[in-house]
Amino acid sequence: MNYHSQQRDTTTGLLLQAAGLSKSFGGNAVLKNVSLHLFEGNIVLLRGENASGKTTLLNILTGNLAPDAGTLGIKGASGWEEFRFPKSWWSYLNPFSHFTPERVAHEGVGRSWQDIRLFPKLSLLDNIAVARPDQFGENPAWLLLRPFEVRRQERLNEQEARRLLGELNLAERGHLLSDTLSLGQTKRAAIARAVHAGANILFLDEPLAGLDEHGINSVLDMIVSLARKERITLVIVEHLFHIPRLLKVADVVWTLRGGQIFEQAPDEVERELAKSGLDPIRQWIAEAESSDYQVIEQALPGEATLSILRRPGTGACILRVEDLVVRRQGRIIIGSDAGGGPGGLSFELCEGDIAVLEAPNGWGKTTLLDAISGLIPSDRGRILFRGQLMNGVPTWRRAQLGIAYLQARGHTFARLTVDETFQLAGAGPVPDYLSALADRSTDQLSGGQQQLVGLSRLLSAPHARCRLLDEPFNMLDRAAIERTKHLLQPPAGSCSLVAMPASSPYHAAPVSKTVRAQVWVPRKREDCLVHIRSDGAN
Amino acid sequence: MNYFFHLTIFFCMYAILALSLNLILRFCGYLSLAHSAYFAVGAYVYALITIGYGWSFIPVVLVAAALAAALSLFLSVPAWRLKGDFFVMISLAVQSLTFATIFNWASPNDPLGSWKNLTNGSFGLPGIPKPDIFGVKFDTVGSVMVLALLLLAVITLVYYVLIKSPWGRSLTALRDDELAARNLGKKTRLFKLQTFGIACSMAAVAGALYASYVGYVEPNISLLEQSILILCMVIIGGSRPLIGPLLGVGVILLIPEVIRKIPLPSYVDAANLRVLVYGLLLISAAHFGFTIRWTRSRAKELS
Repeated sequence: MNYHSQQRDTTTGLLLQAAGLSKSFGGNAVLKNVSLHLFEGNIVLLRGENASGKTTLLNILTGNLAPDAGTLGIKGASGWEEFRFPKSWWSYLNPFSHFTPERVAHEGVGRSWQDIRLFPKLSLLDNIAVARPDQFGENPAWLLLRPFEVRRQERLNEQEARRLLGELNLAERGHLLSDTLSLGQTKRAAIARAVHAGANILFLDEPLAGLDEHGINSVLDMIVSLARKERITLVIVEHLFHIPRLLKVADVVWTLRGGQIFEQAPDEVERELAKSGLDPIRQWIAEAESSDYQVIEQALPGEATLSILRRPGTGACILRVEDLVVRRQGRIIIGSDAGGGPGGLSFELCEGDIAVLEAPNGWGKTTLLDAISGLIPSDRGRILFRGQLMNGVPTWRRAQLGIAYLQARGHTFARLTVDETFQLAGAGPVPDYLSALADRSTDQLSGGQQQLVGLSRLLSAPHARCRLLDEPFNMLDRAAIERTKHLLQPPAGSCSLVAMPASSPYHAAPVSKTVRAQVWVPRKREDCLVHIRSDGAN
Repeated sequence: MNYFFHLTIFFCMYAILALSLNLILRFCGYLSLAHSAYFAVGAYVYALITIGYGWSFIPVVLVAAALAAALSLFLSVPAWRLKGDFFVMISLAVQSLTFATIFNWASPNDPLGSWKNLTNGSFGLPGIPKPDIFGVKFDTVGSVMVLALLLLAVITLVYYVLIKSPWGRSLTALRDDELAARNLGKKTRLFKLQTFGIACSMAAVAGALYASYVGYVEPNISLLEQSILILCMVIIGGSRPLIGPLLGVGVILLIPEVIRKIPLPSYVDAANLRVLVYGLLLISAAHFGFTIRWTRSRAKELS
């Protein structure tokens, strides 16, 4: 269903206007003379290739970063507020700096974060309640001299926060600390928090990243309801895979290219994307299908699927997982059977195999990969790598033997340059498409660039025999995927295991070649026990 | 009995210091080594005003608290920009400068309390009168103890109201993630000013209590060792907001008493042993996460 709004009112309803915004980092001009207009009630999609400056622009518009030049005007409750850059010299003497996140938030601009950033020491209810602006209780003088008014306002605040949580179906969980929720729930709670802070304009930083089908639907529903019912203006920054979903919902698309913004209608962008053909990964899978790959699909409890793309005449077995059970804080994460008991997860990867694990959020994809690489201990079961038992072997030893693991975002060596990262990993020279970045330190790269570096580093490492990849294409744009997809093909004598959220656009198993035979059934419980007893310690 | 009163007075004094440092450490997230500096400011202001002008207790304490709050700007404004290690250096600088100021603002020929000789340097200020509230003189140890307990009760009440309030909640948010809090519109710089102001004025109140009880102040009360001792109490006591600091104070003050009762061989010096025990406790608290109370969340995590 299309939610295109009626004709835009170009005279009133202008909420935010930026003109001539420029920003460079160390000689690199990221934004050049960016101008944009934001109208009330619109849903705007901001897209761009990796390192196009999306995050920089987002940070400028939310007050976290000052541009080198330009003006930014925001219509707040008290009228139009304008910020000019570069700031005059006397404004630097003023310790109460004008352009700060809290000042911009006061004008009605809110944001959500890529890494969510709910406050871990506060309960969920408190996370929402803390956002209310202008609380009397935040002034120590009021607290000590006029406690009753403070308490009255606080009671109303809590009621409102509870109501907001109720709308998210989280009302009964108001007192739990925020880290017992699913990813979709935390994202929606963070958005609700920004709404409670009084945002008229909401900047959402990758709200759909890392979510499975159910999570995406719930967040999309919330986005649409915020725009239509509450008349909140939304600017959504998103990457390639989720753009098709958002195009159905957006009113305007801003494309960042070459440091400039190009405004387009969603239909236009849809046509553009359709023209550039299938997603690179889907293309590659279609190629695999048409070649001699065989697909073995294994259904796992919890609505997950493990699809193994295997060439016939397969070689030796590289990774063998037998009856693996992994627990976290007492709960079984990996290896539960249909009844909830510890059945154990089993599968086998041979030379040349590419395995894709698709599972919903919270299933435990990262836990499984952590267990295979040795970062967390397994409760039961065996992991055999090239015939060697890996239980109890430390991670560094497993890495030396050939288990390479690319973790989901956030694990980079911030101050090493790209060149140094490759050297440290023994991955050979930096590939051509990264040569321009070779001397830049990792923390100066954009998120997508860091992901590209990590992925390239892992896939170029010559001695890796088993490559574990946790959502590797998360932040990559089309160009980056084009360059790295061929590296998915494991070199001779190795295999790959890739984890993806369920129903991502990269669903691996084409129906025609699915082979349902050879599905691994967890052994009966008694067998497991016998196996362990004769095996000794795990 | 007098000794017990004496211990209680010191307990109250250190408790006030520990509670206020806890505000800075656990609610704002800054490690400050300058707490004894503000304690000394309070003590010296009390000494100078009561010796020079003979005011009664409460107005002097208010003046001392106000001055300490004003001086806390030296900590809170750097806190806007600096975090972690850099802030510790700044607090160390404030502490050293305060000690140096107190130590050196003296000249031998000028009268006490004049602008040329404000603090009387290393000779200190003797003869500070006992507290006097509305004509009631607190001249016995027992009565000073009652005063100390009253002060502790008032400070604890204020502290408790503050931490359970929306202000305390916003401070926790600030400590968890300052950038996210700022993007929600929280005026974090103002919160830092308020936290440091309140904490430093509480330290000054403790200083005034000390000066009025002991009757003599000297520059050594603002030594770095004192700051570290207070920090020890806060860290060892654990992370529970109200009980933690109080427990830490209790343990640190009781250790010398316990050591006194243990029969030690003659070559072991009780004073050094005390310092050794403090050091070991601090290291275990930091390294093993060992604190006096096993907090509930940790117990759940391990089950």
